[in-house]
Amino acid sequence: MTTLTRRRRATRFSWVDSFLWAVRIGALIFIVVGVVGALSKTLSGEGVSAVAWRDLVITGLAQGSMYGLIALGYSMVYGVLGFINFAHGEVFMSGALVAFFAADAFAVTGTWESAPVVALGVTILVAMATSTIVAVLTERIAYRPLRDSPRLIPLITSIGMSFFLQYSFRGFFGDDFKSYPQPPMALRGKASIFGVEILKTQLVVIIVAAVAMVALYQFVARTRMGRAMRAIAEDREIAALMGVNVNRVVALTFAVGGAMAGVAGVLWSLLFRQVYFLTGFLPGIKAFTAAVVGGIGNMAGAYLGGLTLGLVEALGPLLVLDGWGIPAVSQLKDVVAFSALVLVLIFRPTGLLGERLAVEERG
Amino acid sequence: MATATAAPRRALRGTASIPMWPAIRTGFYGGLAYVFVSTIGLVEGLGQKNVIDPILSLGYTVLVAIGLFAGYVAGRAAANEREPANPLLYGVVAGLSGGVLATLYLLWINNFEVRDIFTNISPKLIDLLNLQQDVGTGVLLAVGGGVILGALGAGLVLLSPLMRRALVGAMLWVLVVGFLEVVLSQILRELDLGVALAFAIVTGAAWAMLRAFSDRPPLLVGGMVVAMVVGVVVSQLFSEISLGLSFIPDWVYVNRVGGRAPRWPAALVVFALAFAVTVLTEDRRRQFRSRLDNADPTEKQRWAYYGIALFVGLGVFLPMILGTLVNELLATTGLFLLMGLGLNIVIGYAGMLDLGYVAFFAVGAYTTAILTSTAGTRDWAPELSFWEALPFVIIAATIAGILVGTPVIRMRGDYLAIVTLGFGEIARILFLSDWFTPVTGGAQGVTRIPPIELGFYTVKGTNQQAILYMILVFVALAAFVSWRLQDSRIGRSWMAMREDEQVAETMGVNIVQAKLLAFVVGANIAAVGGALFAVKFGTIFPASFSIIVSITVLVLIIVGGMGNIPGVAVGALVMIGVLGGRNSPGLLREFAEFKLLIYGALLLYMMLRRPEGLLPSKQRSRELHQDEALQDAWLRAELDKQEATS
Amino acid sequence: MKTKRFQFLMAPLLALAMVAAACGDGGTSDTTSAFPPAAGALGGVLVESGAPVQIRALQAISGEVAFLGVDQVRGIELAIEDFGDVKGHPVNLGTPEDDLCLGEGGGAGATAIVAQEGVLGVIGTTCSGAAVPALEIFNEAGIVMISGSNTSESLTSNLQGTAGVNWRDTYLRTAHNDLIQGGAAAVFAYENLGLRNMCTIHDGDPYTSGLADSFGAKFAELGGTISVATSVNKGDTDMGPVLAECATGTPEGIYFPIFQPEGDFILQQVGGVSGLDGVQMYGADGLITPDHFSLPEAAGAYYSGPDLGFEGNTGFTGETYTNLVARYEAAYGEAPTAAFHAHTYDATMMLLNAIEQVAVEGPDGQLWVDRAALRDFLYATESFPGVTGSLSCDEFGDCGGNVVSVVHNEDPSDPQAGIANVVFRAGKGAGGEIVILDN
Repeated sequence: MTTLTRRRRATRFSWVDSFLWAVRIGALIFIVVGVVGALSKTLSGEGVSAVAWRDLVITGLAQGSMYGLIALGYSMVYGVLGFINFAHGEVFMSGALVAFFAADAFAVTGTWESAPVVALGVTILVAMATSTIVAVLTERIAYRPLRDSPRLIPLITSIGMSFFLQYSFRGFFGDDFKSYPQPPMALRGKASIFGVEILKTQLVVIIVAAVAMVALYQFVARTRMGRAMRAIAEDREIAALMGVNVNRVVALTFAVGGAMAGVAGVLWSLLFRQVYFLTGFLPGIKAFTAAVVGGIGNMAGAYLGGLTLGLVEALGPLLVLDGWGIPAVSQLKDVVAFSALVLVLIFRPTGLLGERLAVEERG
Repeated sequence: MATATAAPRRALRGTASIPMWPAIRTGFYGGLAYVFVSTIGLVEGLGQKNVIDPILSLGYTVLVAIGLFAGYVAGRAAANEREPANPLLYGVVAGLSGGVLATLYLLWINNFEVRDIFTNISPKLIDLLNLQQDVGTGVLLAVGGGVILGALGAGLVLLSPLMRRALVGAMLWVLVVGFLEVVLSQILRELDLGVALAFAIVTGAAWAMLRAFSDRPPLLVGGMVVAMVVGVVVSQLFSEISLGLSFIPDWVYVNRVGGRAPRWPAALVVFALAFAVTVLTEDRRRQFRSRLDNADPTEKQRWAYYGIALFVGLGVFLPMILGTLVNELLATTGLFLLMGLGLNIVIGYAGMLDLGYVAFFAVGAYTTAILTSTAGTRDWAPELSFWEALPFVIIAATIAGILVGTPVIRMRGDYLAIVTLGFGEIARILFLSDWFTPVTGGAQGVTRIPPIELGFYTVKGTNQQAILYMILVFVALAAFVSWRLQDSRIGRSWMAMREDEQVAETMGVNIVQAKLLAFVVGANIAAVGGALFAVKFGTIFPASFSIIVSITVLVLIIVGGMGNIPGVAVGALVMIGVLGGRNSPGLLREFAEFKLLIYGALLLYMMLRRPEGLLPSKQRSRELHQDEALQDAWLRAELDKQEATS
Repeated sequence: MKTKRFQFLMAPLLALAMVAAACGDGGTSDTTSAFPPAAGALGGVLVESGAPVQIRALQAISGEVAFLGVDQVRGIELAIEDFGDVKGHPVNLGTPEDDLCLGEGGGAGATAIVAQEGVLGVIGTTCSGAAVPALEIFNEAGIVMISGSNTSESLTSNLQGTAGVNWRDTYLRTAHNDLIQGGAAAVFAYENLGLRNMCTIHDGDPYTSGLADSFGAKFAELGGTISVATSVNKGDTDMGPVLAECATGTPEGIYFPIFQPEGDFILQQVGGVSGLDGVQMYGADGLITPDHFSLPEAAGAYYSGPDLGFEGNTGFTGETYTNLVARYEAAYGEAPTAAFHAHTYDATMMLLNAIEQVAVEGPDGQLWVDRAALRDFLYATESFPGVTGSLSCDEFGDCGGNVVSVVHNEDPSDPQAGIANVVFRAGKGAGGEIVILDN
């Protein structure tokens, strides 16, 4: 952009800028006053206790880890193909729902307790396999023929796919809640790490998510396929001319995103234990939000965005809103989450870590 | 240049060495469809309702349709092979292939207890698929039925296009008569002489005057006014005289546990009638179409006016005839159409993907509800009338439009999508929250929203006809506004902005103004829709403003044809009026449980086959098919190359 | 120029036609001039000889609470089967309409029913929110509507003689009134459990928020403190924050009258929240399901709900509730998912019995049913034997026994025993006050 247009922009946009500055300053004041209010309540012993704050941080991290894993799928697909795959939440749901039958079988035979590592491992594998298959199939059937249509078309297609998957799964497995067995004995209760008491399930979720994240990062950074993926994200036509098999790499992107969603599915079930055909909808939207907060197309950003969103959801209502004396703040959790999204984008228009895996600008 | 690499590979695989591969593959997909609809419970769920009494239930109809369709596709594939083959043979092979898959499925569900996982594979379903006999009958039915239906479907390929259309059309008419039992019965039962005469007078007058005064609009309009006044007077004079047509539904439909269904002789009559009408009127229709196609621009414009005149005439008189149920569905469709017209401005004209559009609808509904409700359960209730509240609705919508619009002005497409989605959720939760309960009623919603007073008449929400007229007036207003905006200065800036923001700005378009204006206009249209919604139902709850509504509206304008006003109307009619949204039933009430599944499948099909929508705007359809044309050319060249080398 | 004039002229024309049309929607009456006596204020229905008596169902068949609506439709079907013919006329239920648990669904469903000929009564709706527009439409058509699961006080009365804002005189219900449950639940918490400081959690549903409110009001009236009244959203999974919010009030108990799965999440996660150790968990009927009761964390929790101790009861036709449940299982392949089938069973019996009582037989086997007489007969119902207990309708259509019970889940491995383990029962006194029946 030339300096000329930039200057024109600057003069013309002035009142919008002042509005946005007002929003920024207003939001900061609102947050600071709220936080001071909440913390002073804690200090005076009325509000949330110090231990409770710590618990909330851990809860938020666990929830955020799962958002991060799901967000990867959004982020990678967006990076490579440049559209929002609305059906990714359903990919997550499919893994969690199908893996239930594995977990249930293990619980009935007793393997769940006697060999928890094997049982959990197999359950995770089942979930990963299911989610991967669903993700790759949706790509093959619905998205590949549309690869060069205007951006809105694949988005609408993915909305259709989302409905279709939800209600197909409802048709297959019924609309009741599938209750996962309680976590194996070894994972119940709290563990003490550096003197901090943490629920073991939450600990497992945080660790498994982090490990999966690192492994994926290595994969994309180090392997040939990973390089091909980045090349396609940079420019698909050129990559194709350079001998990259675009279809295979795109399918692989969906597969990897699906596998991560499958892992998230089992972790989710470990923490919350109830899954049904709509389980994927809200986490899907939140994960997409997380991907944008972190900087869409950016893998580290997706993870960071997930953690941020998880923390904001867990802490935000009590930390900011409660200080203002607003009633029933937990109800406003999503208000806080989406406000955080707007604020992040106002402060940093391309997300926390900025966009990566550059996307070609298309209609 | 952008080209898909998937296309050539598919073309290559068509020549695989397995004989009649397309037929086998089509049959396999048909078999998969059989397995799918059975497993998800569609066959059993629709097994109660009969389409033709006592032969055919809706569940079986679905299976029959799958077989026919697969046969037809296989037959067409036969004609498209390098060496054209016998379509019937292909149909039979497809039927066999599907039948084999179905057989495996039947053996599986008959011999293993799978209901613990697949909840809908119930004994009842197995009985249905086995025709209440043992598994052998089921297999015989699947294979034999597959072969017969496959051959029949493939046989359609051999017929002339006219016969094919007439046959398929007649079958669809039988289905329609089966589905619309309630509607048709009510229309025939309640039809009175007055309305029938009025309808005849107005349509007849319109027809005559369009012929006589087609180049003198003042006379035309004057004549139409006279005809309508006469029509209205006549409809009043003879409104007490029933036409006594209720013997028709009484003969056509028979009472059963699963609901009323047409008896088979009636179905036969409907089939024959529809078939005959299609065949006999073919020539006239063809003449008409060629006249329309060959018309010069001024004549085309004249035809467009005829269309509008006819539309207005229908808009005025149809609600008198259609009965309460259709009026109710049309009213809901009208509300969604209002939202669709508003969103069409934001997305179709200005190119901004707003996924939280329901927020403006909610603002309109809540502003009206809070200001007019007489329930007296909330702290603050000024109890205004609808008309007094309307200015506040406009003000609230404008403020909401600016509040949402300003932060997102600098955001690119997809950021805009998620942020607006967030705003939509924020709005809903705030209306629901305990925090604002003293004003908004919170979870308990707002009740006792008074009707609209017109001075001489009270438009009650429960009077489907009156509220439909009210909604139609506002729809016409919104359509007029959109239409005028389209070719206005601001409309052109929107289009320029949609194509390329930077270029548009350099060309002197004020981006801030253009974007905000799009948001504000869109917000106002939706808010008026919300106000009417509040009046129509007399009570509102936050659950009516969930994210799914935004998505539904987006879907309807895309399915109808984005950027095109008639397209949006068609989209609303199909998606809301016929299918029904998540929060509103449609004409096909029997499918309620499977509505969203069908929604999803339909969306997928539309996007893959007809992404420009049912009634696209010319410009958009050009954009979408440019790529395709280029791609086809490339593909043809590629195939030629291959042929040259082999 | 031409186009403009055209548009300008069309507008008044449209308005004119509209006005005329709106004025002209003359009422249609389904009376005929044959044998029947003069029609009452609401008109009447002539059932031809041999033709079925038409009643309809308006229930939530799709969506999140479909399990409640489907359960009720089954109750209606069983009742029709048991009642048999009405003076020689079979009973036709037609296709159940979907109320979608929303005003939109209730309005459209009611319209579809009114569009059908000769419908005498409707069993519905599932949700109170759907009932409001529906009952407005039925009221205009003179059709009575009896619900088996609406509980909002706004639909009937506050039990002390003041009509609710949405009450209409063609509406009745066999379900209980929210006020009774919330109040009785509070009495139990205060008197029996000895709790003095509680936190309430609803989920933004009109039903749960109404229950939490009426609980809170009664609890405060008794002298207790609601230290935190908060809410979750449907779809929430992480209950850490809401429980932390509860913990700020250091409550002795948490009343969470919500549904699955959010209720499950709260129970499962409460153990991990500091400051809530040993707090008494107290749910409501949305969670009284075998699924929820078999959660290990549900051990020791109490649940308030309409009294479901129907075992010894006998319905209008002499059918015992135990036998009814057995037939339900045989017919539909699963145990009842909720208790409301019993309420619609009774509602249907009431309706069919009333039709039979007020119907006048014609010379050739026709029936004449006067709508106003039907309504009045139903409102006058006194000690009607039902599987949910004895039904008597008050002047605002509350016919349910209004007996509330509290159950105690002692052993999650046997959820059915937990559901049947009633520790407290309370009912409605003559003046609407809460009367303790069993302790």
